[in-house]
Amino acid sequence: MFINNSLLDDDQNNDTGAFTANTMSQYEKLAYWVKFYSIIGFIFLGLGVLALLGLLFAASALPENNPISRYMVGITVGTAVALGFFTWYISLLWGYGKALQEFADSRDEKHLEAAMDKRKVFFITTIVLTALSILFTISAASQVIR
Amino acid sequence: MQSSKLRQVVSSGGTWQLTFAILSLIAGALSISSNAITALVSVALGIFALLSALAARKYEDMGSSTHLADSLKYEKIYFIIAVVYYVLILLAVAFFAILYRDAVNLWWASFIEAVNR
Repeated sequence: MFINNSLLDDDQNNDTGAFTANTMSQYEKLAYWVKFYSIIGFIFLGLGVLALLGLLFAASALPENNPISRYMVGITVGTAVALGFFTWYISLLWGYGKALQEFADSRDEKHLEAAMDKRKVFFITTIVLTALSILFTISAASQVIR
Repeated sequence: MQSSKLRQVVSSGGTWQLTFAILSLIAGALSISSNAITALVSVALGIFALLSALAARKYEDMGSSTHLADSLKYEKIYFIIAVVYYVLILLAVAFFAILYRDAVNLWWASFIEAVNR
């Protein structure tokens, strides 16, 4: 369903707050930067996969009775889980940028709703990650003080 | 879609963005002594997320396209800062990989050897 043309009036006349030429241009620019950001995320993901492969080979090269091998398995599994989460996070961001671009191209409301849903999940996840980083900083600082 | 509903859809997530902005500012303030660059980036991200969330809230209240455009503009700056930061990290990784290319070559050779084994 396309939004009513009356909502696409110019900035001066009948400012409904909807999608004027200026806001549509801002949506397009935002989509570009969101997609660019997610591409950088995919590059980091590639580097992470390389690191994971390195860990896998290092873990497999160790003899079974080596006490370090147990920790290597733990680190490898932890890295794999973190990479899986990161893949979902970056895909979410890519989806947000793509939906914004589709909305800017078609002005179809359903793309905007999809974009806003993804944006909400992205910010909630980022809040959780930021809260974890704060907890980590506080715990590291308390270790130093002790 | 009605204009009020449209406003709700567009400004949805503004509360979460505001929460993120506050947390990002706190995270930046906490890590300023240990990692100044990351702390500054965190504060800058927090400021622009805050500006974007406040503009989105004004848009929801008043429905003016100027506020919506402002919100989108600040969110765009937020992503530009993040892009610049991570591109600089990638460049730093590439720089150190070139600087210590002997170690990288050694790692790569052992990696290939492990794959062949």
